[in-house]
Amino acid sequence: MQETLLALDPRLHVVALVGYALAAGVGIVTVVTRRESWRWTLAMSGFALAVHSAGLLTRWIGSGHGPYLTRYELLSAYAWASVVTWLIWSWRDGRLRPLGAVVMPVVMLLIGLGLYTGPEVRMLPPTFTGIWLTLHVSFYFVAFATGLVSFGASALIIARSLGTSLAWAPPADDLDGLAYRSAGLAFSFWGVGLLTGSIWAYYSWGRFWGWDPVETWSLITWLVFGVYLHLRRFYAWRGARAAVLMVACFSLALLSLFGTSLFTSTVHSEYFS
Amino acid sequence: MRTPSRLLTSRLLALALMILLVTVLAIVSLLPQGSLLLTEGAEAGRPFRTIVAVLLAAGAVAICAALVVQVRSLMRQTRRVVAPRLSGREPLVRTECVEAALTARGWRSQQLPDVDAVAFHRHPWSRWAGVALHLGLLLVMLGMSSVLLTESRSEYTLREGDVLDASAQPTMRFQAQLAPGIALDDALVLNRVDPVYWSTGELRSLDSEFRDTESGQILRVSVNSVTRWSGARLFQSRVYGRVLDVRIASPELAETVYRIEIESVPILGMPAYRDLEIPGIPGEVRIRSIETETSTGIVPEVTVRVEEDGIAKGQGTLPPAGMVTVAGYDMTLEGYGYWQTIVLVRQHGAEALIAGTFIIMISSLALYFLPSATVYVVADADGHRLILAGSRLARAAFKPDVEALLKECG
Repeated sequence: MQETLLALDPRLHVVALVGYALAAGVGIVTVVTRRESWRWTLAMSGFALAVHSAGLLTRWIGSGHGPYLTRYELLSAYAWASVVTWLIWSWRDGRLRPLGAVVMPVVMLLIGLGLYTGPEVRMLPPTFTGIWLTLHVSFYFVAFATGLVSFGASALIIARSLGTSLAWAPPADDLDGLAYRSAGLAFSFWGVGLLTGSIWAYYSWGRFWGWDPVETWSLITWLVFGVYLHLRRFYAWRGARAAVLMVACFSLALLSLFGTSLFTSTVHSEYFS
Repeated sequence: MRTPSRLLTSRLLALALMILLVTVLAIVSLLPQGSLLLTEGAEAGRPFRTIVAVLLAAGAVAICAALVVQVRSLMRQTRRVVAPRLSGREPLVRTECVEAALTARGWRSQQLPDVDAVAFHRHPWSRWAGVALHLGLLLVMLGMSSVLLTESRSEYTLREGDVLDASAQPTMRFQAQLAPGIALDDALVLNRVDPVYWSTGELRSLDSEFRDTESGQILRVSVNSVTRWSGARLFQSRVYGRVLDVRIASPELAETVYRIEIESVPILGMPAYRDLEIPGIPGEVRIRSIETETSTGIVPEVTVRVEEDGIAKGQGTLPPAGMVTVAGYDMTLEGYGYWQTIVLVRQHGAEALIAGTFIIMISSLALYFLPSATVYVVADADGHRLILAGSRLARAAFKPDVEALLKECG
C-alpha cells in the first residue's frame, strides 16, 4: 500500500506540473490578447492544485510524515502554499487575478526543480518530531507564499515603470498596496517561523540559537523585510523604488531558504538534501 | 526623559540599527560555524559578539516600541475602502455627532474618495491583542537575554557503564558571563544506549537509559526532548557510536586489550571506519564496523585490516566469540557496547521565551487575521445614513456601541 502511494505521488506531481504549465500558458495568452477573463487560468490552477494536493497527501500517508524533509517535499509544499495564497487573494479581490501570470511560472519552476532533485523518500530522523517543527515549517511556507505575492506585485510595478503597458494588470496603487500588505504578512510569518524554529532547535540541540548560517541568513532576511516596511511606512517609499527593494528582499528570502544550505556548511544541510 | 525616548523610537535609529545589524550578521555568517557564541576560546567571533549584543539590545527595545504600531497600520494603509450601497432603510444620523462620538471611543476615521462618505474602523480586540503582542515580544527578549547571560553548557561523551558526576570531564564547555556553572551533586550511570531504526535502516530514535546512583531512579533521555535532572537539563545528542574491546597479541607484542571507539553512521548496514596506529604494529590498523540486525539484536560486524605504506598486510573479520589472525597478530573481539554524547545545560529564561512565542502567535492571529468592524456614514438625498459592516464577530462586538450611538446621534 505504502509503495503504491509513494509510486503514485511523483506521477500526480507531474500531472500537477502540466496543469500549472497550462494555467501559466493560458494566463500569458490572456495577458497577450488583453482579454479580461481569467476563468480558464483559475480553472486550470484549481485542477492542478487538486492534483497537487492529492500528490502531497499520498506522499504524506506513504512516507508517514509531512512534506518537510527532502528538497522535493519542501519545494512542493512551498509551491502548494503559493497557489493557495494566490487563489485566496484572487477570490477575495478579483482584480488581483492577473498576479497569476507571475505566481504560476514560479510555482511551475518549484515543482519542476523538486521533480528534478528526485522524489526519494527519507524517513524522519529523531530530531524531526514535535509540534514546534510543524509550526516552524508551516509558518515559513506561508511566509514564502505571501512573499511571492508581494514579489509578483512588485515585478509588475517594475515592468510598468520600464514602459510596458500592462493594461491587463491591476492599477498601480492597488499593486503597490498589495505588495506592502503581503510583505507585512510575510514579515510577520517569517518572524514567527524564526521563533518557533529556535524553540525546535532548543528541544533538538539544547540551544535556541547557534549562529548557524541558515539561522543567521534567515534573521538577515527578516531584518531586510523590516527595512522595506520601515522605508515604506516612514520614508514614503512607493512605486518602482520600493518594488526594486521588494524584489531584493524576496531574492534574499530565496537565498536563505534554498541557497545557504547548498553553499555553506550548516546543520540544516543534513536534512535539506 | 523625552529626548532619550524620542531618540529610541525615532525612525532613523530603527533603520540604522536594522541596516547595521544586517551588515554585522552578514559578516558573522562568514565566520567559522559556532565561533560566535558557543565554542570556548573562539577569538574570531569575540569583537562581533559585543557588537551584535549591543545592536540586538538597542534594536530590540526600539523595534519593540515601534513594531505594533508599524505592522498594525499595514492593513489600514493598504485597504481600499468603497462606500456600500444604501438600501434607503438605514438610520439617518447627524455626521458631526457620529464623528465626535466614534473618535472619542477610539474609532479611526477615513474619508472615502469621490463620494460624500466617511468610514470609521475599529478592531474588536486591537487593544488587548496589541498589549499581548507587546508582552510577548518583551518576554521573548527577556527570555533570550536571560538564556544568553545565564547559560552553562557541558557536553560529555559517555560509554555504557560510565558515570556522569562532578569528576566527569566534558569534551566541550561553555559558560556565559553570569552563569553560576554546573555543579553536579548527584551521579548518573549510563546503563545503555538504545538506537532504534526504521525498516529502511535510517535512525528513528536514540534513547539513553541512566540510573541515579543514590535514588536508583531510572532516567530516559531521548533526542528532541528535555529531561530535567539535578537542577539541569539533559539533551540527548544524535552523535553515538560503537566501543569495541579488541585483544591483540603477537610474539613481539605484549597482549593488550584496546578500547576502540567508532562513530556510527546512523543508517543500519552502512559501514563506519576508524584508522588508528597501535604501538608495536607497523603501519596503520583500519577498523570497519557494520551494524546488522540479528535475532539477538543489533550487533557490529567488525573487520580489521593492517596496512603498511598503503599495502594490505592482512585482513580479517572478528567473530563475536573467537579469534582471527591478521598479519600475524591474534585478534579477539572481547566485548562491544555503545558510546554517546549528552549535553548538560543549566539556564534561566527558556520558559519565558517559549511563553512569549505562544503569546506572539495568538495575538498576531487576533490582530492581523480578524477583520475590523467599519461604520460608514454615507450621504444620500435625505441626509447621512449609518451602516455597521464587517465580519459577524466584529459586528457583534460593536453592536451595543452602535445602538447607543444611534440613540445619541439619530
